[in-house]
Parts: sequence; structure tokens; C-alpha cells
Amino acid sequence: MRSSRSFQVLSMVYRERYREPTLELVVPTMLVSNVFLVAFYERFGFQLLGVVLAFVPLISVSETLAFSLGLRNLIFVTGEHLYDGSMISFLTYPLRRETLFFFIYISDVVLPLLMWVFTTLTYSMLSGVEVPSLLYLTFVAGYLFSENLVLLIILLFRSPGVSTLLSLFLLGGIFVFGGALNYYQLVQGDVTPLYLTSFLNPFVLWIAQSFGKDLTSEIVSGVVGELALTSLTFLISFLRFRVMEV
Amino acid sequence: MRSTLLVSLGIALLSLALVSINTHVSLNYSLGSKPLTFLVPNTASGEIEIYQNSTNVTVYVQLGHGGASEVVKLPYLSALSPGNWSVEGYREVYITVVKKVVNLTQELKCGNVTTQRVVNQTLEEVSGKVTVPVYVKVDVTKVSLVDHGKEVEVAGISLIGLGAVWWVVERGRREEG
Repeated sequence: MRSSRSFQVLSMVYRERYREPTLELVVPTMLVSNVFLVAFYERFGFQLLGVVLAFVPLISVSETLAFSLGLRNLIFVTGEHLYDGSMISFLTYPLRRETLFFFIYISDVVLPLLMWVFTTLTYSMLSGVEVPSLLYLTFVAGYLFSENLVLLIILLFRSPGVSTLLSLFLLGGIFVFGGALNYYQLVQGDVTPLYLTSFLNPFVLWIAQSFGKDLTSEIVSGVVGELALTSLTFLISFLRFRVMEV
Repeated sequence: MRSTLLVSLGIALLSLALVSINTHVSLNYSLGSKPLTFLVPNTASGEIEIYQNSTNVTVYVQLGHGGASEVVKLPYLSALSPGNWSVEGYREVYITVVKKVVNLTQELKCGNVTTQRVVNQTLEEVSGKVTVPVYVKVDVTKVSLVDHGKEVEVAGISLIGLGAVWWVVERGRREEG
């Protein structure tokens, strides 16, 4: 009985975010927009550089879609519920707060990621273009890091407007200035500090790697750093949600 | 799963199967000391040309493709078949014999005596330098968006059909309810 109620709440949370025609528009577009993988791969002479460029966030349409969907769910659905106090209606259900948090997290953050993984793996398999597994992991770590940061911001400020601006400034700043910092270190030829800074924008290292430089260990350290920060922001968000007054 | 999602996925698969990139892409490389390697997917078609401009020399390159490696004389022209390609300057390995002076220490009853002796030594020389510019031109005429287009097309049509049937069943159930 209890699990059926939990399922009802999960279904309600899910339906609120993915009502028709959200999935009908997003999933096929994600699948089809992966054609950039083949287009870049051809344009860059069937080299790794083409695959890497097709995976750079903002250039890749399917990654941007997944990220935007997660951002919309967090800020304009969950954030709106926190802002206007309608979250209280979810809390009146006989359900633990922790369970509700996991339901919201799965619907807001995990499902867009799963859609991206499903469509990208499917297209990579269909097109026969091999993508290094570390490149998949780099995007997954970056996505979780960004979305968890947005979740933390929305739980701290509870305002969709403030959260949108703050998230864009923070994430944009980390991506642009982190990328510039990594690029500067690569130009200087000193790769040791990259172990510490690669988590800011590992795609710059990927581009350098595709030009023949071996930076695998620096990229791995960046991915591990992002996952560690992801766990930290997730934990703080979880604790904050548990004791939050609505 | 919703019927409309099945239909939209079917349309996506169908469009991927029917569309291909037909823009002619020409890639030019100059062969350096490092081998040029690339992996051509099954979906691409075109041709590869390896040439050099000097008229009074004969140049050979080492061409690796599909697990085999062979030395080819330039100019070389071939269809761009799928698989790994590697092009590098022909490395000739030859053995030379050089004279070398070595110190030999002999232990005698009256003490150690060091003598010098000239011995023959064989050395393995590798000539890996491309002395004249070698160019690799890869012409890609067509790239399909998916491998096995026919199967993907059938899968797309099946999903559209399945989605349509599902939609009719759902509608019937709703009207009954």
C-alpha cells in the first residue's frame, strides 16, 4: 500500500514535468541532433578532434537540450513550488521528505541525463562513430556538477529569478574563465596545475589531447574533482531539503 | 510508453535513415615525421590520394589498412574503404658494418696488460625521413547518417505503425471508459 502511494507521488512529480508533448519533442530532437557527431567527424578528417568538438557543451545540441531540461525542471518547476509555497501540498502526502527529495531529484536531474545517455549511445552505435568512454563520463560529471549546483542555489535562495541569474553567472563564469585558465596553462607548457584546475572545464584538455598531447590523467583528475563536488552539493542540498521550512 | 512518443521516435529514425551528408569534403595533409592515422566509418565513401610533386624522384610510403601494411609507390589512388588507415614515410632498415676500437684487458702472470683492437660492429640503421614533401588528399563524397540504413528505416516505419495502432487502442479504451 505504502509503495503504491509512493509510486503515485512519483508518477505525479513525473507527469508535472514531462506532460505531453515534452518527451515527444525532446527525445527525438536529442536523437536527431547527434548528427553533428558524424558531421564534425567527417569535417575534421575522421580524427578524435571531430568527436571532441561534437561533445563540447553548447556546440552539442543534445547536451544543451538535456542541460536546459534539467535547468527548467529545477528552477521553473521545483523552484516555483518553493517560491509560491505549493511544495506544502507534496509534503502533506504520507511520504518521508527524504523520499520526496529523491523523487524530485530523479525527475528533475536524472531523467534528462538518462535521455541524453540513451539517445547518444543509440546514435553512436547506429552511426558507427566510436566515442571514448571517458568523454561520455566527462559530460556526465559536468552535467551532474552543474545541475547539483543549481539545485543547491534554488534551495538556498528559493527564488526562480535570482536562481536563474546566479546559476547562469556562476556556471558561465566557471566554464569560460576555467577554460581560459586551462588554456593559459597549456600554452605555458606547465601541465602540473592542470590536475587541480581541469575540473573547471575539462573540454579544453580534451581538445589539446586530440592534437596529440597525452592528458588522460589530468582529465581523469578533473572528472573525479567534479564528481566529488557533485557529491558535496548533493549532500548539502539533501540536508537543506530535510530541515527546510516551507 | 506513450503512442505519440513511439510515432515521434519512428519519424526520427526514418529521417536519420533517409538523409545523408552529400557535401563534398576535401581534406589535405602534408606527411610529417609522425604517421597519419584516421578511422573511416562504414558510413563514409570517397577516395584517398597520396602524391608528391617532385618529378625526378621516386617516393614510397608505408600504407596500413585493414590489418595489412604495404609499401606503395607514389602517386597512389584508392577508394576510401572503411577501417583504420595509417600513412607514414617508408622506413628502410639496413645493416652497416663499422670498425670500432675496443680496449681489451689481459691478465698475465706479470700483471694486467691493456691492448687496443679494431673489431667489426654491425649497426642497424633506420632511414625514416621523408626527403620530399608527400601529400595525402582524402576526398569524402558522401557520409550516411546511420550504418545499416535499411534496417533503421524498417525500425522507424515499425515504430510509427506500432504507435498508430497503440493510439487507436488507447482512443478506443478511452471511449469505452
